[in-house]
Amino acid sequence: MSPAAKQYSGVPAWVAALAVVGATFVLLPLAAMVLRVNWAEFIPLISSESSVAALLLSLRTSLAATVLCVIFGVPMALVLARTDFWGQKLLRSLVLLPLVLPPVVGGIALLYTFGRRGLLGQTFEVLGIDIAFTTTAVVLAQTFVALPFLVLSLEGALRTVGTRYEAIGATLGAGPSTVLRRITLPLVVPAVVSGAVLSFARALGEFGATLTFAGSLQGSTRTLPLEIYLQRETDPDTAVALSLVLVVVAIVIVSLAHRTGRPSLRRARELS
Amino acid sequence: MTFSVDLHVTDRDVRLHLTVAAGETVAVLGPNGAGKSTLLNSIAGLIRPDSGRSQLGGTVLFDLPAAGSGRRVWRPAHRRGVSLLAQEPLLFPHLSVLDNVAFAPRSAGASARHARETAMHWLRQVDAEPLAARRPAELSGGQAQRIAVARALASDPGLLLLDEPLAALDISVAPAVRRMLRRVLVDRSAIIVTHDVLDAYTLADRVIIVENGRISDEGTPAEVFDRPRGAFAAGLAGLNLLTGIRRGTTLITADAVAAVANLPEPGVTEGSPLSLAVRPAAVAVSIAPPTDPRLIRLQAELIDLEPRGDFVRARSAVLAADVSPKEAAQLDTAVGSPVWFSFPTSAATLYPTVPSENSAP
Repeated sequence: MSPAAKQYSGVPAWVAALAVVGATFVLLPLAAMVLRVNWAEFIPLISSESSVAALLLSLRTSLAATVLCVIFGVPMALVLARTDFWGQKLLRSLVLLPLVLPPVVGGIALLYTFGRRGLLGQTFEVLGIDIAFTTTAVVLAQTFVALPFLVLSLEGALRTVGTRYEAIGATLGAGPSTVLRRITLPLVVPAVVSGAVLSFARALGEFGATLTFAGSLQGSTRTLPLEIYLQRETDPDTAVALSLVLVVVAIVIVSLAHRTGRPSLRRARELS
Repeated sequence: MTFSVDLHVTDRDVRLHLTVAAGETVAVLGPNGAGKSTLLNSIAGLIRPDSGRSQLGGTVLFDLPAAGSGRRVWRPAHRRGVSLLAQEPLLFPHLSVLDNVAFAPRSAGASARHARETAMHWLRQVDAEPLAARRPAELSGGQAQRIAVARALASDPGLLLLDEPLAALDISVAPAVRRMLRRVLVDRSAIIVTHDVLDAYTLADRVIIVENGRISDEGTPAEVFDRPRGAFAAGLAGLNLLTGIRRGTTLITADAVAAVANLPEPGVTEGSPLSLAVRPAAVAVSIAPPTDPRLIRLQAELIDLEPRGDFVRARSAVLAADVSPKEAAQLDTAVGSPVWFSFPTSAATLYPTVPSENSAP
């Protein structure tokens, strides 16, 4: 950094020290895990049949959950950001509840909704559809916990962009759907992408709701986090190796989200 | 297309009625918060007034009877044929200049090729053809506002609304954009909200003054600004306005602060309300009474001397005068005491006071 760019910084030494402790607390466990990896056996460990099945299932279900999050989360964010109705604040808090809910509670809630004796279970049974303890249940559990991430980030972006461009579009003769397609969505694409990436990451790491609602059947509901948890008992080397795989995937996702998040911030600043 | 609007917003106490003839440009002026933006946004369909009615040609834009009697009509913004040009250009940042201008034709269902041809036509009209391939972020303020004008015109609006289109522009580029607006507004029904008398004179056929949610004055620019009815219009026109009652050759102002002596031959009858308008530059200030008996004069307390570049404004409660720095220096000791303001009859405009229907308090 050039001397000219050095500005007064008001961070006291004890604050910096606490920050270092905090950062160490986050980084040290990761380092400890990496040190524990059995590198000689790494490739065989992560390419065993059950590992590969779990990884592929995780990627497949997380991708499906992300698609569902976009399909339903974008309209939810639009309604929350652009409309005004009685009880909207309460609805927003409730919709964002999965963010703070213990995932296992979410799993139980899903079970009593879609399970065989659940609220909608009978309906689905009549239709011949069984949801609980299937891959569909995995996707539903992941969507349930991941949806708020997309809604939250997109709603913020929509509020930052404001409605002035949309109003101008309407006076130029564009109907609501045209305004949405040609003005609103293009302006918040970075937020949609970063929200989707965050949702994907959350879906990939989902454990509690999945275990409760979908169970742990190899190939159909046993995702990577479940596989790691099971292997930890019998084969710690595999658990550590698979954990490292998840860490790498998470780092890739965070850097992706960071990169797409930045232009959205820059654009928001241009607009304000 | 003829346009008419009746507007009533209760909580902002706005009650306005105005019409725009086919091809006419009407300028709306008024203090901040007078209801001008409410007017434009209601016509554009962006906010909903409590009650009122508006019609453009044969199309009812809205019909909201008071107290829920009768059918309520609210035509959505995108089906009104009313285009709004705001103070800021608000070009869509993700589209090129050409696609911005082609936005309205595309929305109206034109093919991509046809929409771009229309867009190029309007870019030529605003002298911005070479900018077609640029992004809005690469434009200067004046260029962006030109594009915004082209984009609004490309929607072929039956009525064009302009909300202080020159206010955000650099003082050096505003004149060129104003000339361009003058050209494109010919034979176009338009309402322009502005704070600038020059805009009203150059762009408008008719001027409406809105104060406190009511129309306080209306007429051609010359009528409104040469013979202002109220303090706001007089201030815009840069005029001193004295209103009062004629008594012989004197004008007794309403607040009885000053009596203007030596009025010329009566143009209005004795005892009737009379207005007098005079430019501050035409007014002289002296400590001793003026010697020339033909000058209109009044005595008032000199409140202060305010430097304004190459002249100094001498202010009293009723009248302001622009004097040279040299004269101001001589008046310096007189601040706080009565001085004489005088001006020749030829510099003053005298006219009967027209009581405005909703005179502002």
